[in-house]
Parts: sequence; structure tokens; C-alpha cells
Amino acid sequence: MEGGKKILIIEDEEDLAEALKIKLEGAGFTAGVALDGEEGLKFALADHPDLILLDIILPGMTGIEVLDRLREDTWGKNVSVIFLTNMDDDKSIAQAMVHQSSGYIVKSNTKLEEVVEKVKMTLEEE
Amino acid sequence: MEESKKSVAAIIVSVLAFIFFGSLLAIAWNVAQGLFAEGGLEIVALKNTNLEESLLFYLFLVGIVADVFFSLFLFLLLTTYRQAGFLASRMTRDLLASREMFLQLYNNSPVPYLLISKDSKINLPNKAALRLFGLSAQELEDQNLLDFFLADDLDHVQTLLSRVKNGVPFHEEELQIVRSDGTVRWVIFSMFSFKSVPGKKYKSGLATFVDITERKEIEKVKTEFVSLAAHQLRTPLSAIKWYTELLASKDVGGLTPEQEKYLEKVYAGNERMIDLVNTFLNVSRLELGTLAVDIKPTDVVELMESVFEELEVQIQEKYFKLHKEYDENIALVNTDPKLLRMVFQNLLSNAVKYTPKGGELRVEIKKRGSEFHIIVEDSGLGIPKNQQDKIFTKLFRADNARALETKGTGLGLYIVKMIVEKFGGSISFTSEPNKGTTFKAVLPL
Repeated sequence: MEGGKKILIIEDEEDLAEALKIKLEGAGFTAGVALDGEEGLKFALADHPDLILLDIILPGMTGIEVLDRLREDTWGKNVSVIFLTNMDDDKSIAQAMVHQSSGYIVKSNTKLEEVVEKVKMTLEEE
Repeated sequence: MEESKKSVAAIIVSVLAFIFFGSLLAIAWNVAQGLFAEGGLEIVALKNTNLEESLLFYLFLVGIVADVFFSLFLFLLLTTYRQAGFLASRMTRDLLASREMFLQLYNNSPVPYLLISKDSKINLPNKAALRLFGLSAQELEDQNLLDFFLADDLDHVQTLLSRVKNGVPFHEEELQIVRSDGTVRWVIFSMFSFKSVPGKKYKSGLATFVDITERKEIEKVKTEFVSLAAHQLRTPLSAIKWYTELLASKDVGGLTPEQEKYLEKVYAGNERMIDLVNTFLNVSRLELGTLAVDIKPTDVVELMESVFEELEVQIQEKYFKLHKEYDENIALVNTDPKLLRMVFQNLLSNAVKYTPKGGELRVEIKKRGSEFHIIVEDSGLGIPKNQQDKIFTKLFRADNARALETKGTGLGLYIVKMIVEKFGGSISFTSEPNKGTTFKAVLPL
């Protein structure tokens, strides 16, 4: 078990967020969900999760903007963030890399189990 | 003068000449006979013989014949001269008409034409060319053709022009030109040289441009739609993927063997759809040029081996005889591994898919000068002869491939060709129906 490490899922597709939450909790994590960027940022800055799974296309503030704002915060500048998106064009990937994310996952090409693996690996690398 | 009158004049002149020289001959004959008769003239050797008289007679005959021939000759000369004059005037008229027709066709053709001199200067732009470039004839005349291309294309255009100077034409180069108002148009640029025209200063060639801007815009909209649709499809596909995974993992309760079997089918169908979406996205990116080529030192043998690993299950199921020949001296190659992987994946998976059980598969990677060759050979279905020219066409599938395997998009080889050409390489194949196919990609190192 992962000793209840906190994972924040910022994802506007409720069904996808729900599936991730179930899988992560099944693996022993504590998982919270935010359905838009602003809510996610607020949640993150208040709750200080160990890792954030961040969608890019979000209503209002985009995932890239959320990460920008996080990096301005003393705690947020070092928090692990994995982009979880269905955009895998070069431009999106390049943008994500510039913003020092810990990974880039294309949802439709990745199993839930692989997402959990990636989360575990990232937390271990910290 | 009319032609008939000229003919009559030639006859009259010839007859007059005949009469004139005939009369001269008659006078000469009479004078000679008179002189001989008076003994004032004599040929010593033949003096007072019959021969003297006969000789005079023969000379007279020769004179008549010469007169006839001379008159005939004169007649023929006059007739030929007359005909030559007639021919010359007719040819001049035809030539002028032909030149006029050429100029009208050239000037009014809907295709823009430019004559390009050896130093790449524009001469004689036709009306369509003026419309395309948005300039008047005076403004366009003597401008450098290279000034109208984008900076990024200049090297390529210069290579093309130097090819024309060496007598090698080029066709159907898709390029962009910049008009006088700064707008950019897509054109198909073709050019050939006609250095055999004597005495002309335009010795380099004829350039033609076909405006394909609208076609390009339609293609772009179409491709963007495919890209947008594919991205949109990914969200529901992700939901199906993840929830079938949750169900199958039994985290939410056990399943009957039958339910499990059906769930596997749902999962497999969804995976196929995800593959399709990924393929469509790759095609649209390659077509739109939004796929950045990321060149880095790549171990191509390792890359090929990783593709073999992906296909391991299918290869084992078919008990293939595998032959791998990798050049030992092929070290790291500067290429884009992500794109090259797509080439390997498509070539290998086709070979595996369309070769029956127990068949043979040969893969070769070798270095040749400044190139490396990738050869994928199978002993499979082969490509029917009458469909070989369409094999790289988008969405095309050969009849025998379609009959054997319904799954397939007809995009694999289209993607392969686009990537190989993006790398500056080429791809070719040889194929014998029911014997097999060999694909060969030649890429720069």
C-alpha cells in the first residue's frame, strides 16, 4: 500500500476522473478530484497533494496555466505533476516539457494500471 | 501577278527564246552554206568530200537539239523560280499565322507561363502569370524569379533551376509563391528547357504555374476536421478502455467466464478503434506538416528489434522462418526514431499479416555510402500486378489483402511513403502474386 499518499486529479471529464479515483484508491492512494483548473489550483494550494494528475484542455484555466501558477508558489514549484491528456501533438508535449512536468500520459493509449505505475514511479523518484 | 498569268509568261518567254535561237541557227546555217559554196571557207582535211556537207548538217542538227533543250531549260528555270516564289510567300504567310496563333494561345492560356533566362530573369509573362503575381507586364519583366519564392524554399528552387539548365525538366513541384500584395499562393511549378531554339535570347526555359491554393485550403480543412474528430473520439474511447479494465480487473466484483469473454471482445474492439484514431491523427499530422521531425542519433537495429518484439505473438503463431541481416558497421543513425518506428511497424506488420503460416520473413538493414537501406521481404500474398501502381495511395487496399483480412485502413504504406520522403529518402518494391513482396527503403544517413 502507498501509505495514503495524496493524489489530486484535475480532470473535467467526470467519468474519467471517477475511474482514475477508483483505481488509485484501490492501489492505496487517497485521491481527490477537481473538475476545472481554477478549482484544482485552489485545492492543490490548500491541500498540498503529493502528486497532481493534470488534464490540459480544461474549462476556464488550461492545465498549462494551472502548472504556471503552481510553479509560482513555494510549495507548488516542486510538486510532481503528470499531464494526463488526449492531446499528443508536438506542440502540447513541448509546452508540457517546458513547464517541468514529471510525465505526459495520453489517456486513450494508456491503461489505468499503467497510470498507477507511472504515479508510483514518479513518487519513488522524488 | 496571278499564278496562271505567270505560267503563260513562262511559256511565251520559252517559245520566244526557242524562235530566237532557232532563227540565229538558221541564219548561221545559211551563211555557212553560202561561204562553203563560194569556197571562201573550207575545211582542209575534208575538202570537197561528202563529209564536209554531212558535218555541216550534223552541226545544224546539234544546234536544233541544243535550241530545244535550252528553251526547255529556260522554261523549267522560269517555272521553278515562279514556284519557289509562290512557296516562299505561302510559307511566310503560314509562319505569320502560326506565330499569331502561338502568341494568342500563349497570352490567353489560363495557365501562367513565363520564359526564364539563364540568370533566372522573367521574360514574356502571359496574362495568367500577371494575374497570379499581381503585377503588370512591365513590372514583372526582367524580375528575378527567385524573388517570388519563400526563403525556406530557395535552396530547393535553385536546385530545380540548375537541373533545367542542364536540360533536365521537372514537373509538379508543390511550392508557395509570394504575390505583390504579400499574399502567398500554393502552385504546382513545372519547367522545361528549350535550348534548341536558334537565335533566341530566352535560352533557359518555360515555367508554368498552376494555382492550387483552393485545393490546399480544402485539404487543410478536411485534415483539420479529421484531427479534431480524432481528438474528440479519444475521450469516450478512454472511458470505454478504463471502465472495461476496471470490470476485467474484478476490483468491482467477479465475472462469469462468458462475461469475461465478451468483455475481452469489447476491449479488443475499443483498442482497434484507438489504433484507428491514432493512425488518422498521424496521417493528418503528416499531411498538415505539424509533426515536428526530431532528429537524434538512433540505433536503427535496436529500433527494428523492438518492433519485432511488439509483433512477437503474431510471428510465433505463424511459425515464420525469420532471417535477419544487420550490417555490423551500422552504428547510430541521425533520424527521427518515432517516425522511423512507424515505417518499421507498417512494413513488418504488413509482412506478418499477409504471409501464410510457415512462410519466410527476411529483414535487412545495411549501410551503403551515405545511405542506409531497409529491406523487408516476405513470401506472402504479393500485390496483384494491375494494382501495384496504386499501392502507396491513401486508403487503397489490394483486392487479395482485402479478401484475406477485412481489418485494415489502407493508410499504412501511405504513411510509410510520406515519412520516407520527409526524410529525403525513397521507397520501392518488387512483388510477385502468391510468391511474396520485397520493400526497400533507401534513407540518408
